[in-house]
Amino acid sequence: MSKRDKFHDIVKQALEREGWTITHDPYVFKTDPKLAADLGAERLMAAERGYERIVVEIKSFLNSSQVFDLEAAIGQYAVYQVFLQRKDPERKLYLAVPHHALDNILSREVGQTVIEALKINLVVYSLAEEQPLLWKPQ
Amino acid sequence: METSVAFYQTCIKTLLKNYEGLQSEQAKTIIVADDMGMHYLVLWVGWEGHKRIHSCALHLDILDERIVIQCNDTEELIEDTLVSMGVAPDAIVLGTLPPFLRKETSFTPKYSVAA
Repeated sequence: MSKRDKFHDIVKQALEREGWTITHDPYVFKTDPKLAADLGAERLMAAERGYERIVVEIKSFLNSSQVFDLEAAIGQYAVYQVFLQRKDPERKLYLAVPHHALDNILSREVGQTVIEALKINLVVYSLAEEQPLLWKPQ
Repeated sequence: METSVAFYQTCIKTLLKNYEGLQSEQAKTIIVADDMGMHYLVLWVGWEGHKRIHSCALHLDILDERIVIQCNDTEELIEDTLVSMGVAPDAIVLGTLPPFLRKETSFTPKYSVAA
C-alpha cells in the first residue's frame, strides 16, 4: 500500500468531474500481504453495456530520474495486474501519471515502447490546473 | 561558504566517476567537469550506422551554492546519492521537475534559483 498525497485528491476530483463514481478509496486486494491500489471507480456507459469499472494507481514522478520512476511504476502495475486478472478480470487497471511524466519519459523511446509492449493503460492528469484527463489508449 | 562549494565539487566528481568508461557497441561516455563554470556532465558519444549519438545522461550545475540536477537520464536517484555523501537536501535543486512541483519533494531549497 502506498501513502496518499495531494496528487491522490487531484486525480480523484478529476475522475469525479468526468462522471466517475469513486467506489473504492483505496481498492484493497484480498492478498497476503494486503496490496492496495489507490482508487476503484465506475461509470455508466450506454445503458445496454452496463458499467465500466476501473482501478487506478496514482504515481507522482517526483524524482530526478524519470526512468527510475517509470521502472517503479511499471513494477507496481504488473503486480496489481496479476491479481486483478485473477479476482476481478472485468475491471481495467490504469496508471495515473502527471503531465510532466508524459512529456519527459512516456513520449520518449523507452517509455513509449514499454507502455505499448506491456499494454499499460494510462490516464494523464495535470497538477498545474484543472484539465481534462487524457486516456491512453483512448 | 567556499568550503561547501568545494565539497559539492568533490561529491559531484566522485559521482561522475561511476559513469566513466561506460560503453556500448555504438557509444561511450565522456565526462565533462568544468570547475570554473561549475557545470558537470556525462555524455554519450558515438555512431549507430548513419545516426550520430550525442546525448546527455547526466548534467549537474552548482548555482548559488546549491547543486542543481539539470538532467538525469540514468536509472539512479542522483539526489539520494548526493545526500548519502553528506550533501544537505535543501542544497539540492531538482531542475528536472517543473518549478511548481519542486516544493512537493524533500529537496526544497529555502529560496528559488534560476534553474
